[in-house]
Amino acid sequence: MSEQDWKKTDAFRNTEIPTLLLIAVGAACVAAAWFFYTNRHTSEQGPRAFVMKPEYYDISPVRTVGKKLGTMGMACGDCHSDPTDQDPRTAPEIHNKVVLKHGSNNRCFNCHNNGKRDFFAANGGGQIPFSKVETLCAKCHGPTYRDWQRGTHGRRNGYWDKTAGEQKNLVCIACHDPHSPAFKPMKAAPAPLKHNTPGETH
Amino acid sequence: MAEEKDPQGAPFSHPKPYGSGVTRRQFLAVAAAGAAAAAAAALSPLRDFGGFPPLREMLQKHFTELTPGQKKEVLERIASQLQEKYGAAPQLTALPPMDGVQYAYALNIGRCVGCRKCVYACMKENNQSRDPQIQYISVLQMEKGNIDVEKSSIDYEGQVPKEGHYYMPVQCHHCETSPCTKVCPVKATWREPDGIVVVDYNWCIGCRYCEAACPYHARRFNFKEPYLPEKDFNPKIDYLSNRPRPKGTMEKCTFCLQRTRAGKYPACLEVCPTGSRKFGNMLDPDSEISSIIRDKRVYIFKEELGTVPRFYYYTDV
Repeated sequence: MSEQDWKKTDAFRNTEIPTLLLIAVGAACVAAAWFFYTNRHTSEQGPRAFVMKPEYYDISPVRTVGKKLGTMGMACGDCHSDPTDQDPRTAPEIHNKVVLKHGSNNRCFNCHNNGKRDFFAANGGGQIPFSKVETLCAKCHGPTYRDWQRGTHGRRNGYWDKTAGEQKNLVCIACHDPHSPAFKPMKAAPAPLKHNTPGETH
Repeated sequence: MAEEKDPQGAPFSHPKPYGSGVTRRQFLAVAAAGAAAAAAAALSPLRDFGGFPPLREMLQKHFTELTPGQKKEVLERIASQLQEKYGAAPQLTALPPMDGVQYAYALNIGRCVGCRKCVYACMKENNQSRDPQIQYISVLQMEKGNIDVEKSSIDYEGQVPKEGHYYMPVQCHHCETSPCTKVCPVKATWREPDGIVVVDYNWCIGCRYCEAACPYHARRFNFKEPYLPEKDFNPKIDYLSNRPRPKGTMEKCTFCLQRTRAGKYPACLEVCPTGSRKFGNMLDPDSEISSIIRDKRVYIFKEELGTVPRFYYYTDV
């Protein structure tokens, strides 16, 4: 290769290739800068956040406990004053809808006071007020009642430290239907997300 | 020497090197561009970098070494940072342990129906990240007549309890000889005098040794910046428990320290529809937890490991 050729080639090198090189490096730098600044805040947006529905953490007990023994806003004693010798389940309207699934305890007046309908029946025909329903259950469920008194059976809410605040002890019928006392199945809240992608589970 | 001519007849084309059609300069140009792109990609984790923390935060001492004045200053700084982020003014406390109180938890394994309400009440209370999702409680669906957790599942859905199964929620056991606190190289996690194992999120370096050490898989790591919608933010927070965690730190159940040190029950217990969850002071002979430990059949999960948990499973006898 002659000296002239080298000069020509050098001239070529000194003009066009460095320009291309500069453009390429410049484009790469611009791309890198764009990459940095457009994506800066994507991790803070959290567009696919899991929605917490209130029913997942609703603290109300599974049943609502009324203030008195009765139905549709009326106390039992509003209609009934005299004892009956019939099985109330054969009577029309309300009572025939009662399904009793309480094991061998299948007689209404085992628990309801036949003479005073606004009360429950204590052993020997005595009266148990609605507010003391746990003593009715205690007639048969002695060990469970003992555990409930100690707090190892049933729900306690509020304060473990009674000097700091009120401790609420929920009664038997806040969780158990007295006519069908087995705890009812319920719908489970959603399973944990698999790989943290909504809709997929582990 | 005759001048070389390429097929197009261009007089000053660069001589072709052996083999390929790429010249040294072209190669260098592409290599430089590639290197710039590679550098950009390598530095891309810095996209999440939101600036250096304030100097006072960088120089903050370990939580147990803070004087009352420094503690107040730290709480004020964190509260103002959180107010800026979530809008609501947080009630940030640093509740001290109570004298004469040793916390313990018991769960009636025969009554739990596996409804997972505890899981979500915990998320609601403790400001866990919603995306990625972080949950402290794993509810294991176990086969009846079997205590092998390898045969359990956590992905059940629909009506519970399922036929032939029982449910065993697992969360931090607050062990007396906690393996997680032993392995922490910086003492960012420790056991408080009332038995609660806590994490100082400002001290944690994110090495995840504690997660590996825990036999109950109770610890959760913030791999990404936690995402918590403003409306889900619980402003009643404590330094050692449910204040929002930064990315790269470990978190776990703290027995709802912000509630329990104020005398309340933990959130998971409050919500349990079956009353399976029991909590209280072991040293109080009249508490339900003392009664369970004294009178019930208590099962300690992985007892053979010698972790001495403060979390007991029990059944009614």
